[in-house]
Amino acid sequence: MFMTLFFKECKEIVRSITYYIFLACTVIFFITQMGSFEGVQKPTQGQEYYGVKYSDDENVIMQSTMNKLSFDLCFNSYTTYPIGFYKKVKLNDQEMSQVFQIFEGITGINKEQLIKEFEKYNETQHDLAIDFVKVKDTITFDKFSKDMDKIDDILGGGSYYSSKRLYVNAEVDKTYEDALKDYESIISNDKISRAYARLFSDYMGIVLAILPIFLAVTRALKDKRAKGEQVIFSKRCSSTTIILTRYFSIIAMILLPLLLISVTPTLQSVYSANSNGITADSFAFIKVIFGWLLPTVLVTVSMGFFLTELTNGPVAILVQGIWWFISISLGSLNLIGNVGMNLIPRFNTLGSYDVYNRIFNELVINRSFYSLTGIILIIMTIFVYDVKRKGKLNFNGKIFKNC
Amino acid sequence: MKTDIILKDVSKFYGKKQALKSINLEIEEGMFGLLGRNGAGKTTLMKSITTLNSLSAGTITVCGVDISESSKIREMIGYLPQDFSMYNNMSAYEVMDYLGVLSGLDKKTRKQRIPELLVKVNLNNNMKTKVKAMSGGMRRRLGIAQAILHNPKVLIVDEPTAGLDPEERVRFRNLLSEIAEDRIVILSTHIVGDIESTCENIAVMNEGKIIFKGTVTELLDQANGVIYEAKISRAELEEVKKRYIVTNILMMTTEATIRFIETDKANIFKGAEVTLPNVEDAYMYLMYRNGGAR
Repeated sequence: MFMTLFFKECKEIVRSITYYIFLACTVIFFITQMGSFEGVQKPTQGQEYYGVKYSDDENVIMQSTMNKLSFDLCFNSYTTYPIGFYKKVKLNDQEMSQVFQIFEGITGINKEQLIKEFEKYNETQHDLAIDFVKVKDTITFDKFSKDMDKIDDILGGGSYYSSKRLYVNAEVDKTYEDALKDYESIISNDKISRAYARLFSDYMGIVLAILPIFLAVTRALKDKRAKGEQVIFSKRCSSTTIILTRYFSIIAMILLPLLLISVTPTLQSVYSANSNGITADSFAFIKVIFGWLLPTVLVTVSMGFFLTELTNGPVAILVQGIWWFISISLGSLNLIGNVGMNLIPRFNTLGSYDVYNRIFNELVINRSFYSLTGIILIIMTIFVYDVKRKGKLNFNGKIFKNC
Repeated sequence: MKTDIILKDVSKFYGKKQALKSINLEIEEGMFGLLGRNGAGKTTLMKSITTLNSLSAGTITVCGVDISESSKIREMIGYLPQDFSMYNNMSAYEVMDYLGVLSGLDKKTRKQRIPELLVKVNLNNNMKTKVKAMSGGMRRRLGIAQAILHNPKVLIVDEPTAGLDPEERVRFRNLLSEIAEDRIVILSTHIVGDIESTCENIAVMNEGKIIFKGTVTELLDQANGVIYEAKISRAELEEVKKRYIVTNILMMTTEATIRFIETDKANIFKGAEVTLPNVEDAYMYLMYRNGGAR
């Protein structure tokens, strides 16, 4: 019975307009974000540009942070993400003087001097680099970090002066050696396809954290809208079978196009690997679809089922929308290797195997957590559905409304 | 195994409102009519027997099985709710097939039973008709076909003829009578005519209570001698309506033939003659005795 019902549910999904909207959005997103892959090529000496990287040189981090701070101080305008959302901060005089004091302690330049230098800089602006701000030799990175944390506190947190995010200020051009190292890492560690598959997961994770909710809510509301709920309730089939066949059919019908979509980047990776004289990992995309993206789909569809069965309404779309927005905002703080407990782990780069290696355990914990949450939510959905079949939890009955 | 349904002291509360009040009832094989006003508690009672409602008190057994064993009960019961429909994009055959799977029928049985039943409910030419293109009558017939697809011992139909045209109603009642030959069919309705022509045993509900249980003849007997018929002028009609419970008015050009209830012979006006009650009269008389007819 389970498989027959499963296939019937799949057939129903294929007939629904919501599914075609889902497919269209997914494919369009994939093409617009990942349609320009040109393969991996070995860098050559004398190239004009090799890309950028975050420097791990403490002196570079300190200097570039001070350059940024001098700009922000002069314009009294600071970008922060206190709870993941963008916020522009303007400081009052007292706060400004506190920041200037810290700035002076690190650079030896006071407020008046900085303003004067900036006026000169603006008049003769020929280069974006600021050369008049120098970090004192006596400043250690430890002391610098503590001072920056104070500024971050004054700004209300979530700024680029938090000691945890100082490295973001130190974006520098890659050298030929850096580019060669990256290339070798992509070739030897990632076999090209794995690096590309991570980028694929990053992009597709964004759409899969929101679009499946529409499929789940539509399916869960379908019986009621069709006035078929009572008849289905009265049938012999267990609540577990009814819910799980619906659940797995949605999951399958989401994974199927994803697997089909992944054929193109897989072939591109294989071709690029061949051009570089190596063999690509042909299953890299399948691995990330099941290991990285499936947990997102599981938890999103479970959430949709659970809240819809519980409330008999589409509130799950709102809840998931908020969750998605928060996840996207939190993820935007760092697009490469930003995992934590975020629903949408970010890895928006081709390569950076060392970062991936560093966050791998975190990623495993994150994905396991969401898989487990998805399973718990679907078990709770079965329970709610079964209780509803027995006439409990019916908040929409005519008598209940009159109470 | 005995084919019967036994309800003992069944009560149901929705918050503070009591929808069923200590219902005691025995239903045996054949057509059983459950009559009552809208809101009398019929649907609540039907859903309780179908395990779609939890009881606040009391017990219900269906063919010896307590309704707490919901999966066993669901195997034995076919249910057609008040406003049955299914997914708009499904054809009649697909609806039957889908619900057949939910009823646990294997492919072979479904393939054999579905065309048979669609013929029985006169939908054999509409097997591919989508639900969205079906008339109310067609949907009800499809509803009855799905309810008996797994050959249940008990069939429960809730207000099946509401909104149907006269021809469809007659066809539907005949269909139910055929089905009731070897099983229990509970027909819940507020339309007295449905019961009159199909059910021998009936119960009447009012405000969550069973106010009558017995045969149609017994119901009629209760109203013997209290139903009168008279011809009056149109001008007298308003006055008569104020004084008596009028169960029927047949308007003609200058006069009207009325049927009304009166228990005290002394109150009968000249020209009114006692007449044999029909089920509608008897029902109205019963309602009058139990809190007053509207």
